Amino acid sequence: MPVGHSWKTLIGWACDVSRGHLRVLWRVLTSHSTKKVFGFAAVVPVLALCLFVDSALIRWSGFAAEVLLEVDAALLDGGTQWMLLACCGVCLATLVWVRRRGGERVGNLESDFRNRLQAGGEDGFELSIRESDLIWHEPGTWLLGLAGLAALRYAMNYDRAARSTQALALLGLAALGQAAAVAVSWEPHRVVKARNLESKNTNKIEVGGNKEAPEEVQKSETEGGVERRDDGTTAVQERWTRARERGPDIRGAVAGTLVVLLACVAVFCREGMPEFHYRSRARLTGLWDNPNVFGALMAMGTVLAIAMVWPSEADGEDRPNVSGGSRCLNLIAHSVFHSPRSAMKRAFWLAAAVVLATGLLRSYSRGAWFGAAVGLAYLGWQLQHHPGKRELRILFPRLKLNCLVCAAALAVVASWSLRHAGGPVAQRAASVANSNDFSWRNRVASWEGALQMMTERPFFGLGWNRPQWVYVQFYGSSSVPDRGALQLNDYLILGTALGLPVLFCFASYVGLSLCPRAKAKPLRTTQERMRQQSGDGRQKTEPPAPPALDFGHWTLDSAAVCRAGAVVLLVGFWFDGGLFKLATGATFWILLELGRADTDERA
Amino acid sequence: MSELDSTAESAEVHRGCFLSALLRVPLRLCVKIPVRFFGAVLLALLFVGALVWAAGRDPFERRWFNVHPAGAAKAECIAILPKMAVRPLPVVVYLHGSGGELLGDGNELRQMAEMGIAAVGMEYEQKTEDRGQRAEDRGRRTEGRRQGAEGGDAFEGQFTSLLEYLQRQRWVDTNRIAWVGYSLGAQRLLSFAVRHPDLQPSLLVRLAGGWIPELEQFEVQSSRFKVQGSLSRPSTLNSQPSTSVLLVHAEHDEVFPLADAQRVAACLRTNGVPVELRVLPGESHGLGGNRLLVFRVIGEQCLTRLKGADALGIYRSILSWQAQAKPLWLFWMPALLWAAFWPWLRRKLVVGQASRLPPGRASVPASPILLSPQPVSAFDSPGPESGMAHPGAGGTAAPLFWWEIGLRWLAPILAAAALAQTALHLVPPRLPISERTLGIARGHLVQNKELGDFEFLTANPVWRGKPLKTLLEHVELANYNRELINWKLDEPIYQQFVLSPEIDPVADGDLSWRRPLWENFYPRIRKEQGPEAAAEIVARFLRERVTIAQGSGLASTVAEIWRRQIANERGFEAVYVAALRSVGVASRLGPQSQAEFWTGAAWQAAPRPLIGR
Repeated sequence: MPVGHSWKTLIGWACDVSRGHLRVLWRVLTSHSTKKVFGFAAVVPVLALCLFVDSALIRWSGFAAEVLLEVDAALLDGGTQWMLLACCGVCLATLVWVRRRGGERVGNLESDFRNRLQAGGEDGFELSIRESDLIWHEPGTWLLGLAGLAALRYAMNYDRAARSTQALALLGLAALGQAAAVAVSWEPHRVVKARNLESKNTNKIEVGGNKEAPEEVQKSETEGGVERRDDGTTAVQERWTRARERGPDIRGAVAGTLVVLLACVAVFCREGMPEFHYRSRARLTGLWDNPNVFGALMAMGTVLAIAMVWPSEADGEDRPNVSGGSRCLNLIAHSVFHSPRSAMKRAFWLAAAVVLATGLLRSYSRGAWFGAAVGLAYLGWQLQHHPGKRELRILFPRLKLNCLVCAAALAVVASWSLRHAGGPVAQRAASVANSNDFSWRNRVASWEGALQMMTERPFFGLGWNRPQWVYVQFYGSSSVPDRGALQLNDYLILGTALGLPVLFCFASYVGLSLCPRAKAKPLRTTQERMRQQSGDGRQKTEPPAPPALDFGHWTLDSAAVCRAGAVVLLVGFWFDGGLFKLATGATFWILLELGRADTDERA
Repeated sequence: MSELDSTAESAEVHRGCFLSALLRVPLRLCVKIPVRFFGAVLLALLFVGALVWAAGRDPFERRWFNVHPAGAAKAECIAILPKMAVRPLPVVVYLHGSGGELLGDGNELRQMAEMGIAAVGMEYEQKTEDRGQRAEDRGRRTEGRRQGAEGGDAFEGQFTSLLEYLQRQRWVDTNRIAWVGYSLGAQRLLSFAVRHPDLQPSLLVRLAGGWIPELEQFEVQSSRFKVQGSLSRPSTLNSQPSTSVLLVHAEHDEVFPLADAQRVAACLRTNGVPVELRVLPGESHGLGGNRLLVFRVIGEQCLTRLKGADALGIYRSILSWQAQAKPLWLFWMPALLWAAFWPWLRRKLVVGQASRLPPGRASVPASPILLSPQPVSAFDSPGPESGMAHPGAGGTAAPLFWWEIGLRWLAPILAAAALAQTALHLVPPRLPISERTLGIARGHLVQNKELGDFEFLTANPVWRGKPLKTLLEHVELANYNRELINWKLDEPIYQQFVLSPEIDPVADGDLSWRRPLWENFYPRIRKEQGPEAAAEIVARFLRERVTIAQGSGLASTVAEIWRRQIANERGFEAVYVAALRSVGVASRLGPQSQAEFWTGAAWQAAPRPLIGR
């Protein structure tokens, strides 16, 4: 055998082997699991940095503390701060634009297909105009307005604004949130999928996760909680398939990582700083300098952990077929315990929730407690529309008023009864109704002063880094010696520093991000309208079709979990601040944007 | 003619379209996005209501403005106008000291404005003067003087512009203007007054000011005066005979020694200017914790000197003005009405829209809501999937579970319990004290640990006919405060001189003074370790808030004195004792009707405020 030939064979064999290995490697790299691993690998350090960079852990360490001091000095230096601010502003605008443009690209495909369908005649179906087509229904518009006004005000009183990092924190953290959302929603295969669907001329439109179908297809049979379609597949199976196609669940990864990191803090940081006490009991501060920051993060973590105990979209396959007596309780019990595949996972999240809730209680932060309650209520609101929780959907509207009355009455009774009795936690909770408590009285006094400031400077505000000083000197009541409470309310800081237009922009942005938008409503075809009328033209009395046209909408998915976390922090910002702090601010923007990313898909 | 008609017609059509659009848009929003629309309107109404309420409670109006002098940098200024005084207002122009800034002048300005005077502050040019000041300190007088003059030029432009601005304002009583300067501000003001005798104010107050070089020439004149017995020509220092000067100086001023102030006073006096020098014993240049007290006294002096001695008789305090402000719930009525009105409006609109739908669609009640998978609000009709009866769908209600029925019973029971408990805590305290109300209080409203104090107070017949709430407030607050303070009191001393609200028969009134005084004074003394330090803080803060005056028509009872923030000497002592008791310092009126407090071992005269009247 000639040597050359053998070499060629060997090289060919080697090439074959390596090609095979490469193919395997490529498959491994592009597999769902690998994507998940890389997703997690990217998420963990980013979140850990956001949570802990400004914490006591870093500030008390040697080398890192020096680096942090240098960074602080650079941020507070007026000469460099404006450049960083400009960079953050440009990043934010670009990311908003990229996100918006991605939506338009997909939207164009949709509108083309719609036009063709409508030109097709009877088989087509009408689509109402999407509200998201209107620019003011786009949260990004309001965010850009907010950022623009903030930057303008920064430029107007640059010398004073540069003495604090508030403006930089606002824009930088908002850009971070946008970046997270772009990273999550950057899924080019969706556009391809839309094209494929178009070419197949199916009777579905699937655009960026938005699915609409005529009612004939959407009609489903319900068999004891499991909804079966005409083609034999169940809705939950289809959703599960869709969830797999979407790739790694970054939102779930973010929420899970936050829970794990915060649970670690709650477990390992048992001692609070000596200067924070409530009735001689130390208030836990964790790694941060304030029990309120710790409390807000614990509250957020608790809500996220509790939310993750519930079955998510991916767990749809385990949905039970329950019927009989106390079906709601059975359903809950089954969801939590009877699914062997995820029982361990849920037990883990449950344990994390307990740990975090303990930390939350020991922070003695009433704002955080209230935030957790609001976050749980928001979760309940989301859960009400869960497709598998049909019983809950039945019961919630029917018992809403009773539940509200019971809760309010219990709160009143408890506030009167626990004024002078109960443990420190109960007394702390009841102290919101105690007129001798200066903590909330100072806050209310500062809110009043802030409103007066906004009344006198409604349009442009007082400028960055001025409201605190102006409040202490010009508006604070003489009966309140401690006038630092204004800094505890970030919304009033925004309103007084930048004016009511900025506050309006922020409220619109948050409102549009949190509230699901009105959906495209498939209207009935002419044929169906005709079918609904009897021969004499009078209306039939048959009940309307089931309203759940897009089952994905009703799911307690990871985006809803993210939104619940953001709601907790939103409440916390009212009572204790944190929008301009790295740990809470960054978490808030990331969660809100990740929650909104899903809303975009569904719109 | 026809063209005109058509134009008018089209205009009418346009107007009609516009008006109908104005109505249609909110109605459409109302139906299309009910939850968001309802929530947004509710929040907006609440927010606007709160804004209007807060503005109504604000005792001051603040006007930020800039003055633009020719050839100098613009200067930011603020005018604080009290809403409780009649306009035009006497004006005090205040200049802060070296290193100060306008944003740091607010408390001083407000302290003076509380007296019913418009207080104006300015961010004046002080950089050059700072250098001059330092040079002066080093003994290089000539250089300092030159540089000071440069800084003074910029200042003069700014200050002249400010005075011109004030002359143009309708709220300014141009015949009643005072200048108040602290430290560097005092130097600048006197210097300006000497250079511009035509612009001199009615009153110039120099707080912690020193000697200025411009006075040297007048000192020469005054020395001649001493020799010759009279001035050869009238001094420009008293070109306006109405101008008077008040010098307020700290005894241990480390920047400008007291001798400087005395020298200035002597110079001015010998030039025919009416001067009063007030020395603050034991104080330093910065005035320490007595700073606001001093500004209160300066405000009183400005008011009486600008408006006459009886001006204090018509003084109206912030608290009495705020007491007349309307409550918040009144401003939230529109929001509450909206919340109450919304379900009806929503139902009306949905029914109206359903009736306009074509026959085939009419079977779908509230179609945008039910078809849309959007979450349903509390006010929306339940969907057919809920299994509940729906008028349009003709469905039937699903049977109730046993626990649902239980919950439906539990809700009204709990609500009734909550209402009963709330009524028990709110209604009896508003009733006059009688055996019956005392029995209710003993049984339900007073804690066990407070029962002894409660019985101690009720044994006094002075309570008959007074509201139960006042008695409960004394018992509860005195006990609560006793738990918080860092010193201990024996039971008899505590009950006689802390818990008991009786101080002076003339000043006792309805005895309802403890809560307002405790809320104001306790936060200031909560870190003090002994009654001595607490008493000192109480005396200082009390004088910051209460003016001591003479004359008729002044408040006499403790609660009224605190509300009107003015009293005679006797009333001030009574309120002083009340304030001490409110924070847990045992106190009483002594033989000379002066406040005394219990140190833990003996009775001692209570600390006096830095300045009395």
